[in-house]
Amino acid sequence: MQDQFKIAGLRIKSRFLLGTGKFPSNEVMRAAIEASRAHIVTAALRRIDLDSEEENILDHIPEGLIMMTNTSGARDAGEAVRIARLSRAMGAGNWIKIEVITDNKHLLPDNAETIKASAILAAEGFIVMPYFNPDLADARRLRDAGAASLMPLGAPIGTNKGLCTKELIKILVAELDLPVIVDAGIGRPSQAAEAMELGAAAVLVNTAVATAKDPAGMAAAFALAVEAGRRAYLAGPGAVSETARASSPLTGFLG
Amino acid sequence: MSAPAGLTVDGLIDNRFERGKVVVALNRAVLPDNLWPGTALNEGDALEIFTLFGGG
Repeated sequence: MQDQFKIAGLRIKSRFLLGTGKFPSNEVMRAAIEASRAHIVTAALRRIDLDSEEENILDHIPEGLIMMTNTSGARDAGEAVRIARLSRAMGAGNWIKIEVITDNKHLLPDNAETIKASAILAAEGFIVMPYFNPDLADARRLRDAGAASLMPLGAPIGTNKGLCTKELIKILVAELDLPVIVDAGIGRPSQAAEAMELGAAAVLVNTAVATAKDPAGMAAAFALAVEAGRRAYLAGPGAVSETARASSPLTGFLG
Repeated sequence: MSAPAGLTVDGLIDNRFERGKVVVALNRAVLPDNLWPGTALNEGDALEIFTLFGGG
């Protein structure tokens, strides 16, 4: 059977989602997107001045991708809802990564406000992808609110620390029938592979790619790692043993 | 920003930004681009223009 990845009934061509922040230039970003083979990329909505002369990021996103706006900057559910509505009004579509952060030091998400925003936006027809602290009860609340997937953090945003929440993510994968997309904190391709080996449906990476010496090269490495991790998960890793178990026969050769 | 009075939103926006790449809010409410030409700005109106930037 083909291994299909679907969100809200739509087949997604890649299990590697890429953020577009922090790249040194739009040209480097585009090269990284192409190397990543990502089908979903994320962006943020920001207010601009009338005299703004910055290049528009939309001019540098390859065609055919799903652009998912995040609600970064939102400090409560109301602000997240406003950002989502503005994004849709601009023509950026229905895909929305809900990100509500009240803690400016650790940038950890506010689950309660995220759940509120999820319910409102799902009812308005958005494809809701909430970024949250991986708590099982809150994950169930997000599912009940209409989330199309769950996006637990692996570690605080931009830290590259990897799967600090590994045990909690394993619980979400085991207990919920929604795609689990590990977001934030993944700093190395090996960590992305590990997330996929745990049964995550996908990973979203930004900082680790954008701040690499060679972002396009790193994007390609992540794409391979995500694929490898997924294949390993489907192949069913062997059991872990506390004691040594010989891989070769220990008798019949000498003596 | 405080809106310059005497202009329509269309007149203010159209020369600077491409439609479909920005979204406008007038006094906090989304203003669809088909309403830009007929919407005159008054003194004290709060005009906000948003677009997409890189983000994760």
